[in-house]
Amino acid sequence: MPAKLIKGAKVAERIRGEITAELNKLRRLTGFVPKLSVMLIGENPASLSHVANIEKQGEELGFLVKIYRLPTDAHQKEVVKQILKLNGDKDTHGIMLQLPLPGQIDERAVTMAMDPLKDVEGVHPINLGKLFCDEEGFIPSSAGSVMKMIEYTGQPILGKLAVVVGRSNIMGKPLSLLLLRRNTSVTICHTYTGNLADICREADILVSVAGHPGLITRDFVKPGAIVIDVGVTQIGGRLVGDVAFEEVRQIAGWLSPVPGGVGPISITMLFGNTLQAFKGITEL
Amino acid sequence: MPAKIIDGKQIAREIREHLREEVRVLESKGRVPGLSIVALRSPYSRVHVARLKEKTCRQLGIKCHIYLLPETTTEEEISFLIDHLNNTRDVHGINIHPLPPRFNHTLISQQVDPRKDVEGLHFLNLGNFFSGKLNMAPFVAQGIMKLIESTGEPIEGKRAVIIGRSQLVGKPVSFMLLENNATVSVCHTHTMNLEKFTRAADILIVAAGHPHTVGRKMVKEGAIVIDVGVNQIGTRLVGDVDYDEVKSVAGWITPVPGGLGPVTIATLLHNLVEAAKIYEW
Repeated sequence: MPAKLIKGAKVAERIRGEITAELNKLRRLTGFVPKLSVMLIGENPASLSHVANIEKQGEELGFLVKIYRLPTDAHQKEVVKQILKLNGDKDTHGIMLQLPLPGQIDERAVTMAMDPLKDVEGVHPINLGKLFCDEEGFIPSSAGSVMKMIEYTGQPILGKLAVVVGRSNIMGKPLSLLLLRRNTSVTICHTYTGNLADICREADILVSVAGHPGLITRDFVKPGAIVIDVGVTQIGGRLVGDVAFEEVRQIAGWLSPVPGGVGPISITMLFGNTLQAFKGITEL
Repeated sequence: MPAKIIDGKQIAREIREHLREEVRVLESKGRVPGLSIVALRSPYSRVHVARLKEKTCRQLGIKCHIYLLPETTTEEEISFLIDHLNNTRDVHGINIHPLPPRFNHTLISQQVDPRKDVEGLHFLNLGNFFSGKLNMAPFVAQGIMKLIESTGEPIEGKRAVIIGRSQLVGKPVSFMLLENNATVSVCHTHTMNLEKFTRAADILIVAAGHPHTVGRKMVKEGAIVIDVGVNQIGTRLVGDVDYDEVKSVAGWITPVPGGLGPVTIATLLHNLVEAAKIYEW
């Protein structure tokens, strides 16, 4: 029996349903609308299109989204000043900094300027430290999305073995911490890992974030495993994942496609975090 | 061939010698590193370890003061003291000894000025550590890395297995081993088939908090075995590893006591000296 597909759109739809229900309740209670402020610096086409998607989805969900634009040659000081202004703006509940930043801007310094209570992307060191300690804070939305995909399968994961291929700060590491929080055993692999296939084949949950098309073939997968493909590589205008889809589909229990996997969920998670920020700031 | 012993006392001695030089340099600039230890008169607080730290500080030319508080001390009183130490000029580092379970240690650690957080447990320092910045890294995990490095065996590409997922040991060590290009597995109480993991480990770190967690059958021949556990049985201290058994199969092993313990005092003071180098109060 071929694997069931974990479609990002379906997962996102479910999360949006939860967000809408809660948002309506809070709006009735407070009369306020949560607001996400997005900092966009420069004219990078991919950034423009991503921000447009955020704006669109936010409006559909009933959030206020405001884009604060600065020119490509903006000075570091201007960016920090804008962040500080948003920190102090009582109508702004979440702040998002669209990456990449132009070369003259120090990403770390700008991130550090952000109020951790409005850092809905979970990139401020305070939020990463909270993630590390299993304290409540903002979870990086891409790693959070993978957890939602795993939850979507409805499979029990306590005590299961999760193998994460990739150890990046934005995905591999936070995801490993979230999986540990959910009581799975976790193995983290990377380019220096020998016998990768043997390690992956043990996994009940296999998440690949390698950015290496076709890396995960059939012999990497345990029959019935949950396989989440987060590797996205562009090949001649086409997006390709890490997983050799057709052959792995024959053996996995659950499989996420690329494109159409994690991508659609991340933006939704961003609004989930904005709602959380709103609740925190309005003390609800 | 029986395992080689990883001599924590010797490794600690080497770190201390290096620190003594650094303290001397700081002293010549009129900046004597100062450590404040906060402990309760409670078995949880391991006051004898605080005394040991005090003695080590004296040998190294570091100023050390132990604030030994009554067992009935409240959280407000501890906060008040931390606040005072945060604002005291010649204090470069604050070390809060383990507190009784009625306290939330993680939250109390957040009150320490991150620049004086020599334990490396403030969210800000852990967040920076998360992203690969290693100054003010959690000191116990640093000690474990020193023990592993002392063997001279390569870490890159090796399989490391850690039993325990605490923020003091399991999680930070797993990140440090990843930085060193090991493949890392983290196991814990919910792990099924623990033996399968441990038998694959070239480097095995045991921080389970229970004696006899790891016996001979669970260890791969030639592995490096680091025992983080300290359990009191009668008057004797034992680790989480069955030392006598495992000694005959491992390649390297740490004794308890005399393994990790002495090294963590040295790595705590390493963080203190680093803090004193950077921040002038």
